[in-house]
Amino acid sequence: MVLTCAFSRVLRGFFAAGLSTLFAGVVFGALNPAAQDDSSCVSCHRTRGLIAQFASSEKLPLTVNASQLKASVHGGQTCYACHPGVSKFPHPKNAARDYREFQVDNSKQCETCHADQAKQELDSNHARALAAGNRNAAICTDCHGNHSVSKAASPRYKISTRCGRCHGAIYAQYISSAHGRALLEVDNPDVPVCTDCHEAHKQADPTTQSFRLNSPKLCARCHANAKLMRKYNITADVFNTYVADFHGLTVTLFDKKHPGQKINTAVCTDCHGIHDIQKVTDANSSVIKQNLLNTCRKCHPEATLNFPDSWVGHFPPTRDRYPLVYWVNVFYRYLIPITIGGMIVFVLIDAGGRIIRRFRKGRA
Amino acid sequence: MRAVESSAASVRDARNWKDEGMSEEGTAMRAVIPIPRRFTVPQRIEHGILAISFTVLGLTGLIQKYGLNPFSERLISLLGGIQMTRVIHRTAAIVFTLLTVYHVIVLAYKFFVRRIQMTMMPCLKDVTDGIHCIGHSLFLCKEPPQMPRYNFAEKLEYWALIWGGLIMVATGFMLWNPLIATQFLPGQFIPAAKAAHGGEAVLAVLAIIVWHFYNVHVKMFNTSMFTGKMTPHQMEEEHGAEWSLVAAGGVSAVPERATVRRRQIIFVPAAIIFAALGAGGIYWGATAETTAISTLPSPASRPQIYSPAVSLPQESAESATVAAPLIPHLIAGQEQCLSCHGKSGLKTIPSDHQGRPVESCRICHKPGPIPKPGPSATPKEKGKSSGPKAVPHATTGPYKNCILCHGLGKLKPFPENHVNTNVEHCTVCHK
Repeated sequence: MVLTCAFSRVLRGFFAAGLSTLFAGVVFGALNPAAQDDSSCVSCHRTRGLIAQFASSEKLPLTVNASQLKASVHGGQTCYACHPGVSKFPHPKNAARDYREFQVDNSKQCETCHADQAKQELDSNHARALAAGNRNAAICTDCHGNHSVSKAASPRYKISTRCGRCHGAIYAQYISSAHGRALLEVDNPDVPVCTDCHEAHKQADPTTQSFRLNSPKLCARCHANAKLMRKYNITADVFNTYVADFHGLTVTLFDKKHPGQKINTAVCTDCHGIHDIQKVTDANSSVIKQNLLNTCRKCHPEATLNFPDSWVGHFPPTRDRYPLVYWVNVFYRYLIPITIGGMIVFVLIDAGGRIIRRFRKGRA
Repeated sequence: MRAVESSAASVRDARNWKDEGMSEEGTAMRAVIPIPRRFTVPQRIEHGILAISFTVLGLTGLIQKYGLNPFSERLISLLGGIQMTRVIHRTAAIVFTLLTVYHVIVLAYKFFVRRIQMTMMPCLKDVTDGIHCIGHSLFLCKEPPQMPRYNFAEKLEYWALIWGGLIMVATGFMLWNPLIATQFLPGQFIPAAKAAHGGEAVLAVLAIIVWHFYNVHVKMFNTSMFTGKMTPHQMEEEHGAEWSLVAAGGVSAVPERATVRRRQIIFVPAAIIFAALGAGGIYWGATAETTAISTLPSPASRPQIYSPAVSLPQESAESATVAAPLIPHLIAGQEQCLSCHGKSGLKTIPSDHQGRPVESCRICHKPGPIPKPGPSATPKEKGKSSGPKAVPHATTGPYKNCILCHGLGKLKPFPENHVNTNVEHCTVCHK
């Protein structure tokens, strides 16, 4: 006879408060969990369809895929390493009122082994959002999985797809960007995945001014690396030329002096885009010639047709590119030493003559 | 300036005091020949304002040009940051440009109303004076050059300032108002203006340090910018020709009052219009463009940060069921399920249930309907097993402890699978 296991009803009977979850895990007369193996837990928890119900009437599946667990990076761990509270049977009450609370409580256990990462995570957006009451904020297991934890970066695109589970709109932009396409189409090892810019555990808030001001340095980590850029035929001067110009100098100095202050001066992403960044030769690129005016107008709404040309790009001016700038530079490169050199020669001759005359007069 | 009744030649002789030191004769002659005034009070004030604005412009400009130099960084933060540095630079630029307008008006007054000699205009003699000067320093010529009211060094500096000032004002305007500038000019004029502004700044500052400092502060300390006049010694050396001219009475004639009045009637309104235009132009140039200062990239364009692409792993538990046989007997008094259902009980648990604690049985196995005993449930139908046999004797007194007689090798052995059964449970089945 096949009957439904109205487990939830039983639970409600067990805990009058109706606020508890029971694990149907097993330890037969266990006193020292560390000495136990998992076979007793698995003997119950492999049962398909085993569930518990929270006070919120959400259901918690209790079935564990033992072979998946064994294949994970935690394959050598016992159940009690992560679930120390359930070493006895009947399992003690679980105070979680709903599924998410249960997940949040459980993920705290990760800290016992991964203290460094947990400490970094305390500074993260996710931890801040969680502390502020946003229970959707990611916890360890949301990104790493629970029983099927594998190495984070194998394959590398797994990182970005994992972030994309919650950040779907941004992920959609990312996968159509130059970086995202290279990652997902050819598993390019050089393009940034989410955590390369945002960090895995200690992500700073990307909406702050200090993040904005510091962002050119983020881009420069790869784009100022000549060896890396040569592979893609991209100039590695982008950061230097940016810093040498009005926007870059302002941003750099602000970053050093007033990292939190609000300024509107453009950083890399204001022109090139953030998650939707395209190759500068792509027709959809925000900085390709035909789109550049619109990009300038984001900050300079009165900009006219000639205005975008006032940005020389990330290349030093040459005879062919920006010849006027080139020749002005050449002019002063010669005018300054000739003029000042001539003055110095005159001054030295004049001063020499005076000193000799005074010396002679003194002796006379 | 009063006329002096002596020939230039005699003055020249008289001025030879300098070679004999401060002789009686020299002192006397100094009193006789007046030293022409070089700078009026307004000119000295003009120079002071120019010096201050130039210094501020040079300093706040060069630290922007070389912004990442450690010294620049320190000075920028000392001034209150890059924005404040720019505000200071632009304020000084306004002062400098206003001064330019003022200077043009004063020059125009001198040219159109007073009609004095344009002594600052360069001429061929300046070139020969310069060569002469070098020759004298190299002991090729015995006598130093006799130089006019403004000598070649001063003219060089003045015209360099005019040239540089015009470039700085024009390129500075373009850098301050790139949007307005590019309405009329190609875009690359802006970076070209930046290159010129920076290059010219370096040139101007170095020129002041080398040329001005040497000629006015190192070679001699020329105090005429404070006192209005040079010392006789300096006058002879720097402006010998002018002094001779003054001594000879060759000073520009002061025009008559009435003539000046008549010219002023035209000049003053023109000057007011020019001044108003200049001031208005400066005000416009300083305030016309604010777009880059007031706009901030809109945060509205940011995509939704939390937008789950897939729902979090909430397994739909509704359909999750465990198929477990119901318990077909009373539970009271028979809570130790494993007594009967253990490894070798009457109705053994499946192998995958091995190891589960007795407390867990009833999580899945619920009490079900109890089949009524009766002929319908005759064991015969199910083969050789005939079900629990009835107890053919009393169960009290000496018969209470079943295992006294029943057991393996005893009076009345029970089946092998009864070995683990607790004695208290015998009567559960055997009535």
